[in-house]
Amino acid sequence: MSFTPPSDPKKPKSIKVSQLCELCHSRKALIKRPKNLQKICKLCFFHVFETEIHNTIISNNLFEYGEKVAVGASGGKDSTVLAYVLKLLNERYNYGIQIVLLSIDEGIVGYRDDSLATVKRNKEQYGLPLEIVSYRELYDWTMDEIVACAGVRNSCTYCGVFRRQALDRGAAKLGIRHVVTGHNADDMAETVLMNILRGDVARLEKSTAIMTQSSGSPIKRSKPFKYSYQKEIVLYAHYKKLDYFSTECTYAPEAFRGTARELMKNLEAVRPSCIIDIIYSGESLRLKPKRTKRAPPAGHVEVCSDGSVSLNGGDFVDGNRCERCGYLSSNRICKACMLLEGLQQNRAKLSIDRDVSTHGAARLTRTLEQLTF
Amino acid sequence: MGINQLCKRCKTAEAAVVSRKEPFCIACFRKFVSLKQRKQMMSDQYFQDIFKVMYPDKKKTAEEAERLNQGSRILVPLSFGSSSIVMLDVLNDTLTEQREMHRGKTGFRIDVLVCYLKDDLEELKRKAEALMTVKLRDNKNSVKVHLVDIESSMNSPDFTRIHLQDSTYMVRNASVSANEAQSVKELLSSCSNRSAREDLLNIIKTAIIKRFGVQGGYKAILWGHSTTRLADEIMSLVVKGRASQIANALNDSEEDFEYGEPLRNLHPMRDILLSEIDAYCFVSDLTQYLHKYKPQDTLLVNKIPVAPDAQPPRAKLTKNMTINELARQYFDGIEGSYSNVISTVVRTGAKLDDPENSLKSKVRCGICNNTVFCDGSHWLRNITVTSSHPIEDAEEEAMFRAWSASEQGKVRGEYLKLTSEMEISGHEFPVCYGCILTLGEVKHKSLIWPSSQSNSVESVIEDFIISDESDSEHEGH
Repeated sequence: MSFTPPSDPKKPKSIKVSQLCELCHSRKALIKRPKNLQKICKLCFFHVFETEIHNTIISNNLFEYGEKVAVGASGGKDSTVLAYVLKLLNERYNYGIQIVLLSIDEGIVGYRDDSLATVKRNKEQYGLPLEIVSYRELYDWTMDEIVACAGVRNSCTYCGVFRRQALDRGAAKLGIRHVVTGHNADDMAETVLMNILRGDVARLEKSTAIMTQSSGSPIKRSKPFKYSYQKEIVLYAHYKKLDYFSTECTYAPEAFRGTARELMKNLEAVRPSCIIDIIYSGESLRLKPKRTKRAPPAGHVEVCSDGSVSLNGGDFVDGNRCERCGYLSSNRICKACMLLEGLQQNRAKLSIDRDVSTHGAARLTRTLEQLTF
Repeated sequence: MGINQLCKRCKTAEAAVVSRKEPFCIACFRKFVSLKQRKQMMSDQYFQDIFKVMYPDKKKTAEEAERLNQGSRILVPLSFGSSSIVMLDVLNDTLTEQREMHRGKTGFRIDVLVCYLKDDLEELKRKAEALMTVKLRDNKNSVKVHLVDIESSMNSPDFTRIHLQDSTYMVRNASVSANEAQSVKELLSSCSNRSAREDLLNIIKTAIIKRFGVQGGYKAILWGHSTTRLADEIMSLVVKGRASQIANALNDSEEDFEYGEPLRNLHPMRDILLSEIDAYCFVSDLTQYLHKYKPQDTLLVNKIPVAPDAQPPRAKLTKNMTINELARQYFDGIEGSYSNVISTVVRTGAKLDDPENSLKSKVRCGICNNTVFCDGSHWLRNITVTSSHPIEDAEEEAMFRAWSASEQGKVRGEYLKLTSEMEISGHEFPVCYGCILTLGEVKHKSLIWPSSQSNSVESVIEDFIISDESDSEHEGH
């Protein structure tokens, strides 16, 4: 009797023809692409996902040969996949860029310290240098302290404004002039919807720009994942078994953004391509020329509704700098300095030694998780 | 809310409606809505010339003034939803007022246009006649009703097949013989979802109305869109990749050249919320004229009692909703906490301009007739990769051969056959991004469209005019 090898239980012998990948027609389809509903196999998925990002990079001339590029790395799925894919594409297509991981430590105990551990592992896994910049050293505040002082409602305002600056400052410290972030198509579509819902005319035209650059700043930013669906990024991370940190920030997410996100989710269920459709729409949004207002008296000073003082003439000046910290600002004093001043006024005069009472909800969750009988 | 709350405006009558946190009595509320509409009707010189009663002055003689009054004809598309019915009611009141104030003179004439599908014809005819004989009785001489069969949009001597190749997003067309033509009904049933169906029906209806407006030489088309409706239209256009149309769709101050001759559009209800229009319907006894529309009583002080045997409305599955319905649901949901969002969206939409044209020449979409500013196929091709990872081993090679020979290959083959036919005989066809999406949701990603519509619309309409004679005939019977 001849030997028949046992069948591999993991690999079903017969794949039905209807189950085959719609691109290669030779392997079993595992993924349905939200963009065009094609059912494709794992290998074809890797191929299209990576090639699309490569095409985005090439057609927008994102990188120059020999450029040093910082990846804004939070340890989350987007930035982890971004670091991985950029390294891969750089080797495959020879962009000639040097990649550095740049992380911001906002000081959220129980959330950021864990995700930074992920970034530190990524540093080893991908062999990329890592730089960490903290709010503590830049502003002398941590997010936990800010929330304790200003409440949880506005936490995203503070965190967003500070992080934007912190990324630039971190890059400048390393002598890097280009920061890439993991903003994906879903983020971008959500922003387009939000800008319309809020009537944010100032941001409407620029909200889908893949690269933002200012004449006054040496540091440019770009989003190579502009056309990549969040779902596909997650799938990519999953199938490539990448090491990422998946917990959401424990401070309250922005309430209004939440409603927009909910709407997007419903729309996606009806027409999965809607995310890139919204981006297409976003790219075609243009404002009518502004009606010329009657000229204000000479030497007038306009005070904006948030208390900031606008520049002379009230016009947007590209490359204007904050009078206090020298960072880019469209007003005389930048938003971060305004927020810091507000915080400083409310800071407790005295503090207790080794006080941990400011540690937020995240810390409590972590502690509870570790409890055992 | 206290039952005996007084109207804040006249301070004498009991409040019946609470809107924008203010209690109104019926008369004051009707006036409030009416004034909002009339303000838009007086928004610029062009519209003032239409709606005002003209008298001889330094510039014009008595005959000229009379000619202007007679020549100010406006087109009112009537869907028998609450907005268009309320708009017509306010226009009717305006006419009545003018006749009283100006000793029988009126400043303008109304042509009502009803687009129907055959199943609704009897019902709509009945409602239109009721409107004419009861509500519009006093102004019968200034109002005319036309009914147009939506199917008539497919009356054409020649037809073209418009086809989308999904692997390249290329749209091609090729002429086909008239016996391949589809009816609107067939076309709609070949859509794979409600959004596509709604989209196509909307495109067809809008084309009929605008073409009718141009052919009839009307001074303006009055669209009954409420603030709420405009807000969800703007959001839906963005979601459907049609944001470049927003500026044109909301433009009340410039001429619209979509169908050759210049045409003016007006959205007189743009400052009125749908809930207010619905409340107006209830307090003005207009609900009997509504067709396939259920007004909401949210603003009424005394809610409409629900019939005891009435079924609670079934909640719709998100998957079965259209994009417009989802946008509306969103606005309904956030009304409490972010109530100004609706008007913010409309104001933002009004600030938009046409995008820059990235094409060499000015092109119109072959389906929806809107201006195409950017090559949507090219844009999609640039961001979508459709090549595959190479076949790696003998096993995969075998699978590929099995696929090539199989049934599955043939089913897809029908579509592929059509595609390769179009590749040979078809020509590249300009279609906007939004219509590429719609085309992708039609069976075989292909539809038969009339290639020229000439003046065929006109001839069909004449048969259905409810003239004064037919009215008197009815009264006579």
